[in-house]
Amino acid sequence: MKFLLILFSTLLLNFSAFSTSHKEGGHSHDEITTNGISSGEITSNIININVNGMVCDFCAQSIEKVFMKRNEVKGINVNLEDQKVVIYLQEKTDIEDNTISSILEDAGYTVESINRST
Amino acid sequence: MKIATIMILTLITILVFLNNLIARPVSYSGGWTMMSYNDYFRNTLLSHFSPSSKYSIGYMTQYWQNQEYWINAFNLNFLAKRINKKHSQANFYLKGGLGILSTDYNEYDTKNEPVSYGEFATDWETRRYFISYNSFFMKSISVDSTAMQKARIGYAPYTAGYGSLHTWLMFELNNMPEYKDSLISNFVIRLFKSTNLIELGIDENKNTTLNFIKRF
Repeated sequence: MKFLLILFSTLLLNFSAFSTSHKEGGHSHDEITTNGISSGEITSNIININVNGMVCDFCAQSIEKVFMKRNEVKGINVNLEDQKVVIYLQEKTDIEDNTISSILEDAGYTVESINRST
Repeated sequence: MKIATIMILTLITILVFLNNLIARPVSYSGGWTMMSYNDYFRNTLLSHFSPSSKYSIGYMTQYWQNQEYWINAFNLNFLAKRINKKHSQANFYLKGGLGILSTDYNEYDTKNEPVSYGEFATDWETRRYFISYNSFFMKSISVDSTAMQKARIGYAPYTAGYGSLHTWLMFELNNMPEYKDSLISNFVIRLFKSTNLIELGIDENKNTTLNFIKRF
């Protein structure tokens, strides 16, 4: 019984944590491409990727790690809610679509679409 | 007052684990994972390295409480198939290991012998629902030969972004045919934040489960 009480209390605390994080994460699709960041820094050279199979933080971490190893990448935002990855590239650099698809497939995920904006 | 103290201590313990601790048997290329699984039957400490997102190699130390033996083994985990959909992911894994079983239990006075084990595991999850099943067998020359299977369903009462705290409520069924009480249900709370995952559970016999996973 005591254990159940502890579990219940923990759950309540988690809901409080959720309320906070939900407010922070309540941005629109457009805001994600300009304001969101998981790691690194934001630039104006942006690649938006819609990714399939990205369901948890381990997935997000994998994608973040493999992209942040690349010299062209200055920052990244992984959005689990929208299944979207935003890559912030150094100015005047690019990563080809085939390379992006290959990186994500090697990490265990599949690409739905790739869009660019500068 | 006593309950409040217990709640605070539990919270501190969870936070300590979350800040110092890695779930899937195969990670991304170059990724390391540390796992610890502890229930009524077994205590397991496992670390593995993934040269690619298709397989991982690792080392496992495991203690079986009732039979009082240790297993130290090298293991190989293979992701046989992954199905990625827009809002879901499904996986099929094959796992195997080879090592040494050590025991000083009664007639097995300080006995060491080869042991092998294998496992089939599958899971499907969205950000809200989770289903998994795994089937495990283990065989040594004379000390033990056992099989067990486990099925789990889970529900996330809310969804949160990358880096936030995720909570899952899970119900698990364990089946070990060789035991008299061969089917045991287990309630588990999974807390998942960034690269840290911890699970607390209590089964129908009031035995506890404590699992944690850290990915690097």
